[in-house]
Amino acid sequence: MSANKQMYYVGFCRICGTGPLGLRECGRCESVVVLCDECDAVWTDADFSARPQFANEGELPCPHCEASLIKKPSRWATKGKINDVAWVQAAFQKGTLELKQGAALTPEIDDNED
Amino acid sequence: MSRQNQQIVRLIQELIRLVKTGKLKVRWIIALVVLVVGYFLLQPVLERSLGVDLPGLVDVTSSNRASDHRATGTQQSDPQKNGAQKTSPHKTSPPPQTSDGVPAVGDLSKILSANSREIYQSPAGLHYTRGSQHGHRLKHLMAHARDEPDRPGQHGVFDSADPETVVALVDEAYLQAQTGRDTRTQREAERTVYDVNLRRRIGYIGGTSGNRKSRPAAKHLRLVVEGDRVITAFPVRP
Repeated sequence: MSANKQMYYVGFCRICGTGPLGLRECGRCESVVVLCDECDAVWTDADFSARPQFANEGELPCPHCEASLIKKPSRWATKGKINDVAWVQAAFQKGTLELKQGAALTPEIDDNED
Repeated sequence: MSRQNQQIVRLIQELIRLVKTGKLKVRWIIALVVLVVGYFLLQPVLERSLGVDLPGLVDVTSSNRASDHRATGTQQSDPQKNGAQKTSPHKTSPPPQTSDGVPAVGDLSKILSANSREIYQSPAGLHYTRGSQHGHRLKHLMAHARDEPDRPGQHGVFDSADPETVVALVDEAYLQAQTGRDTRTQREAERTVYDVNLRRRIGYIGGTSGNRKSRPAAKHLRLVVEGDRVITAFPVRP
C-alpha cells in the first residue's frame, strides 16, 4: 500500500453506503472536512445527518474557502493535524466519531493533472 | 474519422452494394432518405408537442455501438427495445458545451488513456464528466474493475475489466431503474441512489470487508447519479 493512499477515516457514507469518510485537509485554508472517498460528499463537521455538499461539475471546492479539495496541496489529514482540529476532538470525546486508518481509493492528484 | 462517421460510411457503402447487386431498388433508397430526413426535421416538433424524448442521430449510432458490444459477448439491455426513458426525471445541469453549442461527447478510450476533460455519453444517455478524485468519472468507475484489498469496508468489484462492458452494465442498471423493476431508490437533494437487482452475478465484494468473507458474489449494482450524470457505480450486496 503506497504511503500517499493512506487516510484517516471516521465511518462510512450514508449517501452511497460504502464510501469511507476520510478527513481531508484543505491546502489553502487548512480546515479539515469529512470527504467521502467514493461519492465525494462533503461535511464540515461530525453532524452527518446534515445535508452534505456535493461536488460541482468537475470540481470539489472547500466549503470554507472554495479551493480545490482534490488537487494538491489539499491532502488527507495527518494525525498531527487531526489532533489540532477542535470539532474532531470534541466528537472523539463525545464518542460520536472513532478514528481509523485505511487505504484511500485514489492516490493524491498532482496540481498539473486535470 | 470518428467511430460514428465510420458507421455511417459503412451503412452508405452497404446500401450502394445492395443497389448495384439489384437487391435494393433506387426508389426504396429515395423513400428511405425522405423518411429519415422527415424524421429528423419533425423530431424537435414532436418532442415539444408530445413531451417525449425521441432518439436523435447520436442516439441511433450509439445504439448501433451497443449492438456491437452484444455481438462480442457482453450483456446489455436495449433502450429502444424496453421503452425506458433515456433521461432522468431529476435532470440537473446540462452537460458542458463546446463553443458551437454542441455537447462534447468524448471517446471512451481517449478519456481513459489520457487526461481528457471531455464528457462521455453512454448509449443509454448517461453522462460521465470530469470530476471525482480520479479526475474523470469514467476513471473512477473503472477503479471498481479491480479489488483494493486494503480499502476499508466493502469495495464492489466488477467481474469485467473492459470499460465498454462496464459502461454497458451501468446502462442496463440505469434503464432497469427507470422502470422501477427490482430497484430500490433513495434520493437526497439532487442525488439519486439506485440499487438494482440484475439477477445474475456481475461482480464481487472486495475491500477489507469482502476479503474477510472470501469475496462474496454481487448481483446488485448501486448507481449514484445527479440527473443523468454518473457520480459512481459499483457491485453491491444490499
